[in-house]
Amino acid sequence: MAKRSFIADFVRPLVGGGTAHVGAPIGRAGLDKLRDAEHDRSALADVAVARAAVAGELLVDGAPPLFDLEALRLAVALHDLLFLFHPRADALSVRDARLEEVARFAAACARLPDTRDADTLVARHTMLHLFPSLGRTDVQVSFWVGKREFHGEEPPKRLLAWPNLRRVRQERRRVGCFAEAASHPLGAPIVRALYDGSPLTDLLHPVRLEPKLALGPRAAILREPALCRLVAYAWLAEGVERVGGALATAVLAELDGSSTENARLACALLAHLHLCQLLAPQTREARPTRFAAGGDPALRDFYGLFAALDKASPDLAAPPDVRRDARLARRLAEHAAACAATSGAQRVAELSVLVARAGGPLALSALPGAG
Amino acid sequence: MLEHVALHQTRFNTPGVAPDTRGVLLGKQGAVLFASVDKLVGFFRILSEETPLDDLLPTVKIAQVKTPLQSREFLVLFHAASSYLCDRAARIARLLGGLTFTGSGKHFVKYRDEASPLGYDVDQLASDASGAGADFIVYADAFTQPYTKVKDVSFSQLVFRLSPRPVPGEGPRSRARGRATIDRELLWLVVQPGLGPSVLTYLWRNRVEAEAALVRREGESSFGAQSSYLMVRVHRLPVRMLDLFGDLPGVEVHRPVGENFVVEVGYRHPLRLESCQSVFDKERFYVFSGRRDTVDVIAAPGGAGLPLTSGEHLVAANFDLEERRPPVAAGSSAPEQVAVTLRLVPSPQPPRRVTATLVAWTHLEWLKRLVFAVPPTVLTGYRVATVDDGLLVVGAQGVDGLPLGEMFQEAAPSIYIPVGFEFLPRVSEAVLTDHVGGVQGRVIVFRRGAEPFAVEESAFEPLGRRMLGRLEIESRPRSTRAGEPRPPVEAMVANDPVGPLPLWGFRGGDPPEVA
Repeated sequence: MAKRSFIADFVRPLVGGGTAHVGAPIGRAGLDKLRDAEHDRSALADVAVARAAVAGELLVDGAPPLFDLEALRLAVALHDLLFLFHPRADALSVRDARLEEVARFAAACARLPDTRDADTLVARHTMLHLFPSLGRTDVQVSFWVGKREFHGEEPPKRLLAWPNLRRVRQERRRVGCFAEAASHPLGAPIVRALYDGSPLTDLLHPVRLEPKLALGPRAAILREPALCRLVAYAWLAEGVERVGGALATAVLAELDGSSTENARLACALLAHLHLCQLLAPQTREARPTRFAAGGDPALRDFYGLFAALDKASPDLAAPPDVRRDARLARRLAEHAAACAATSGAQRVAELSVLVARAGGPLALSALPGAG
Repeated sequence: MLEHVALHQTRFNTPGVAPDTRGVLLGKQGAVLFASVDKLVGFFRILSEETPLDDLLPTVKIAQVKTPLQSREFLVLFHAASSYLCDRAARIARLLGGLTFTGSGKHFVKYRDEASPLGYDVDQLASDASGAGADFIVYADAFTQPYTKVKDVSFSQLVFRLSPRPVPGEGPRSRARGRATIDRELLWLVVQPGLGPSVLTYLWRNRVEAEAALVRREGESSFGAQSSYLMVRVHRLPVRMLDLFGDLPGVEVHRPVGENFVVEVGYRHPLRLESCQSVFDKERFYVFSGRRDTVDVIAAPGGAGLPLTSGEHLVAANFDLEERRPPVAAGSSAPEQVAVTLRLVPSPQPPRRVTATLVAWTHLEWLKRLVFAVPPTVLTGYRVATVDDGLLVVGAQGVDGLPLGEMFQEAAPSIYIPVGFEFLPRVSEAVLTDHVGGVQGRVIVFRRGAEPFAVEESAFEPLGRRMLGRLEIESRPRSTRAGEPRPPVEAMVANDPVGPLPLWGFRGGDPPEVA
């Protein structure tokens, strides 16, 4: 087999789609070699085009992402994270202490300096934008005397020979690498480090089991108007019915009283989403008197939180100029009533207490770029 | 004995329980135990006021259970979707003297309370001997009790077998003060067949909009007397009629509670029926009567409601085939023709609005220049047709913007006469239209000193289109300057062979710092 190129066979499919090949962990020595090496220009051009396409959807006039040391560190961190789930990582020759060393290096590699520069954050996100949906095909081969599992590998031909006689049966299933890594004792810290290194990836994929979306650590980014708008519009494009539950859970977590500022920002962001949804062009159909939450208590809380904001302190749910317009004020009242009906009066009362206790009076102008 | 659950505790003796995201111990099911049916009804009554039961009902099971000493109690089981739901159930149950448990399958441990905010766990499960043959075992502070199921009680039994209760101030004996507050926008009357015509006539005479259907109760014996009655839907019933019908034997007034169920005015069902609409079949109509203390189930096939007929069609008008004499035959003949010449004469009346103008060919260049001066919105209303004498421009809103040519006003629709003139004799528009042979699809123009002429409607076209020359539009290919939309992509991981010693030569440490 020809020697794999890290850029062409791992980074290029990682950012542009395709099959990303995972080999032995790269480590510090490999990273130094990759940094100083002369890479294939066509592969680098493909990577640049794919990243520019992703960045172009997020920023109107952003700088084209460069394949610099930050990008290389994120790619190496992700590669070494994926090695932890390589079938040979369980081999007898690999000690747990060595795997922990790989995990420590990958986490250190993923930790990048904090920044609020939109171009830098988008450039980091373009490296990891497919990470949450990264998959792997696992094959289970059953035959007359047993079965074998192959994770991300093709079974050898000898195992598939004489299929009728040996009653060979193959079952292929797609495994989510992200979910597998996030729930692994060694992988979870690396996933968190990758999200800390690329916080936009964290914010733009809020629906997941682990790690849960937390708005507090991302408060500094959400206070930047351009980035906050970027995130809010991405959520609206994905649909509040899909992201609302995760967002409500994150907002409720911020209402624990640890930081009033973060609680206010979280509430303002939630209200901003509701107002954007409300101000979107309306169809001629009658407005719903109750939203379809489909039995999801978190999504009910998404609506209940807005009703609680409107009830506990009306100036918290909408800027004053919205209420000065009679038509808008009426629509806002109808929306809040529908939210309250969705969540139920009892739950709205509970949430109102939480909001009042944690946030206190808040003007929506606290939300950056709300105007 | 019960033990308090600690934060981050992961192992429990109670089977099928686990802490939720708040750390509260929760099983798959919640269970509420009541000593009597009164408390059971009270529980659902309060719960239905606070939350829609439709979300909960698919998972609710009510069982009548008995202890080994044969005392009977009621156990409500529901899917514990969240600890918030269980909190609500526990609060209501506590109010009514009930006990709340959580668990799954057979064993249910006491749900959390103020003394143990994260819930309780049992120190050991009840022995097989004490729980043998039991369907449920509940663990409380002071007792561990096995229960055997006697029978299931369906929720629909609670809905249909409970009698509506009188509402103070709205009942049949209360006077108008209480009833005036009733929403009278839409009400239903249940009228016994003998009173039907009289009630419908009364409503019709008083201009109360009403629709009626003759219905028959479901489930009655084919051999018994068929009891049918009239269901009348009335809109905006006056208060005086509401009082009258409320006191009238044989007539009941009902108010709609849901799409297909009504409850008699002055009564309310023990449960909030609006919150448990899934109990009601869409192809049936339910009438909860308070005075008769029955529930009438009426088939309404197709889910479209009762087949109602407008009340005015059902009012008896006392027709009689001998009301009038038979029709008298009369002959007809063509009237004698009186020919009168229609003439255009100057009119003493002030001129009407100019709605057409005939621009001579010699003034065509002037017209072209004027077209550029006229606002585009005005121009769109003008239509033009070319005739031998020039360009005929018409505009329904007036052609005041074109001070050119011979002006015309409309004597009748599509019949134009010169401004300041009128026809003599002064005939009506309809007669004039008949006289010219109709204006269907054409425009008639009467000119001074010339024969009238007609122009087909199809000959007209918008003035702007007529005056503008045709432009050749160059087609261009789609530009890719803004970039192609990004197609959805997917990345998959493939594990390459790494040899028997994949970590050979691996060195960790700190990565190089970013500049």
